[in-house]
Amino acid sequence: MVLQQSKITEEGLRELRSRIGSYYEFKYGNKEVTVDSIREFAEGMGDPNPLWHDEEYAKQTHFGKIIAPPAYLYTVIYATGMRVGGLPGVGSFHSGNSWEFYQPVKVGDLITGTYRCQDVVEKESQFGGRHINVYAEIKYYNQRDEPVATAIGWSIRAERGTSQRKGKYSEVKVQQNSAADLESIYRAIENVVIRGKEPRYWEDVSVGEELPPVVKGPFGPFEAIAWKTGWHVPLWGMGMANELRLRELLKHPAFSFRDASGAIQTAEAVHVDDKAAKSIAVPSGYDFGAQRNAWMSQVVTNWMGDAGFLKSMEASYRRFNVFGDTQYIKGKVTKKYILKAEHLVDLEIWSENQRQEVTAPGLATVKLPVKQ
Amino acid sequence: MFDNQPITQEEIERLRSRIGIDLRIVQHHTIASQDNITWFCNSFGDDNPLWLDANHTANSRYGCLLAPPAFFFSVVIPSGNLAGGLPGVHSFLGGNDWHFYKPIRLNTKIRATAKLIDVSEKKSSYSGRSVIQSVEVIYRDEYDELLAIAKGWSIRVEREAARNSNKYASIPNPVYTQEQIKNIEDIAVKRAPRGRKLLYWDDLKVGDEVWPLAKGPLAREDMEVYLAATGNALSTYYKVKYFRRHPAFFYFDTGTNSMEPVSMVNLYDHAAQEVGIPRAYDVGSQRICWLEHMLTNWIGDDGFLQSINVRLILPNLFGDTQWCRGKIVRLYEHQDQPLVEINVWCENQRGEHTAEGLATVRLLSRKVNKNSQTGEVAHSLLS
Repeated sequence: MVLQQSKITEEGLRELRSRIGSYYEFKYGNKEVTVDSIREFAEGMGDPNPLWHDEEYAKQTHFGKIIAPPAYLYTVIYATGMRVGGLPGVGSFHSGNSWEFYQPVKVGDLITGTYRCQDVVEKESQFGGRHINVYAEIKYYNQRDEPVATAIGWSIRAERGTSQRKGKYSEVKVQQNSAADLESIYRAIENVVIRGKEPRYWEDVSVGEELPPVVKGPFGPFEAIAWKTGWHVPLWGMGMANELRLRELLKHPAFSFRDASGAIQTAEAVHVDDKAAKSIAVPSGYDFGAQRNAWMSQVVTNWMGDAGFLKSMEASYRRFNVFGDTQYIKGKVTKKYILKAEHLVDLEIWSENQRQEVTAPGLATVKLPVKQ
Repeated sequence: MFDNQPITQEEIERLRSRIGIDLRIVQHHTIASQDNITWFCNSFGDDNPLWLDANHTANSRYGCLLAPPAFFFSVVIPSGNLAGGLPGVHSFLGGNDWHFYKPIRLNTKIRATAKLIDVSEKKSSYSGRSVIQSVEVIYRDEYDELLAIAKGWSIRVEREAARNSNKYASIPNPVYTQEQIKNIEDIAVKRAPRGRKLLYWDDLKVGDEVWPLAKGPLAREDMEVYLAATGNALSTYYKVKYFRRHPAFFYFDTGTNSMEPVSMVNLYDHAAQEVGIPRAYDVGSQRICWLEHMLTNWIGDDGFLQSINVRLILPNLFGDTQWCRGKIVRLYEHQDQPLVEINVWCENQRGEHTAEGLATVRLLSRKVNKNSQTGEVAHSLLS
């Protein structure tokens, strides 16, 4: 059970570069924003904020109805470099996003968007071997053609084989969690603090202030699958069963692999299948970059309360979150200022595992209400 | 290790005391929105344009997209598990008996209620003492009109007895020749739904076969997609909440170093082996989706699946392939409706029937004006 392993060739790279500026269609993706699509996404990312779930609660907020968490937009267009394709048989790792949000997504909205390959850049690799960053720009619009958000998503294209992979990923130890470890992680998960309807006033915030953490773990297969509950990306057979997946994979053979029985699956299996993960030199199944982004936005939405607005954020997914690992998503206020009459706060946000390694650094800017 | 509890009289009585009470259920989908329909169809491989293509359905008798009858599984699966009980005792879906009253039109809001209706004991060759618990789930629309009624039953077996029985231990690993795989995939790739072409009741005879489907070899990804699409994959926050109430439903999985639900049997061999099954096996209701997929594919846009009763006999293991088949056993008219009774079954590559059932479909007849035979749907269109 090994994924196809192709080299990055000059010709392949030239062909990939020729895609810069091209637009790509997302045939699938959530279109209509419904209470189901929001609730299922929030459940899948593990976010119990009543603003996404509770119609009665949401009616009493200034939104007047349920709104979607910021990361919901991944369900409309998957904001990574992957869709650009190219370099068949070469690995693709979602490795970062920057987001600008202009207005909330509400129940009843129809969200669409455009996806354009923005750039292809060769970088020094932490993986070893050649390493290409593919950048995509995604613009989201609502039914009134108003811009809702812009995202840049980038993916590392790196050869899948183990021989090219050097350094830090081979050193990852599989975490052994004791019953006591689990209990303390679960307590931390249960102690999630959601600001909710009590406004977080700009005046009351001080630089250096820490955000209550969001805890996710230990990561396991059901956490990976749960993410797919709300996030449907039926691209190249992903998110599809039986003959529908087969038909797609016969068109995209480099994205497929077969096990001993002959059963065919997409390369997405690396997230839940140790053998597939090991074939790309990751010790076990691991999370999705977009999932980590969702968790990092959750620490901000929990803290800012219903009256706050997440204006922008960025995050780089630097280390894998493998089975058995726990992520502690944290944040800190770094700056407080007024710009164009908006009262803003800059945050440093990051995801840190139980080994105190920062697995994903990030930044966010939040607009807060002011006292009358 | 999975929790291993014996089936005790006390726990059976405790379960029986819930008979007739409205069960607290959590619906996954609440509306047959276009996106919900699409995602759910993807999870069992159905691409019938009647569910997916609004241009196709604009000229159908319905004038809009429908959700397939299997969509109800994404609202709530009618399984005995809805009643809980017998913590630490394993559960297999034993089967479903469905009656459909109306097609599900686009954007129908669906509300489900469920009751435990029976708890009975049985001796099983697999695990000694076992309990069968049955529920009835009623699906209604927002105007309280009946859409479907499903009876579902689950078989509860002691895990240790199941492990020790060795009933399934000798199931061989699937081995296919290249040619066999090609044959399976040819059926899978080429099979297209009948669509608008009419299937007349008058043209059929007993013994005629339904267009078969080939589903397999089964892979983990088929289960992942189906578990996600039916809302049966909990993220950690919700998992912890559920774990506090139902600890016996979880175990510490040493393969992945995380706390996972026993539904891991649907994903990993090592979990299935905890209940004496050598490889991971399917969520049984997906096979019922497949049989419905086969029938709706064959009857076309103008047929209606009225009922299907399926017994799940054997598990469908990873690597196994199921051929979904059907054969007409009876053609009759009831209250001027031309009906066809069809034996349906899933057959694996070892020639074993893993599911068997009986379905009734309503078709058009050449004898009568076609609009008069379409039940409440045509009447509402005409009035």
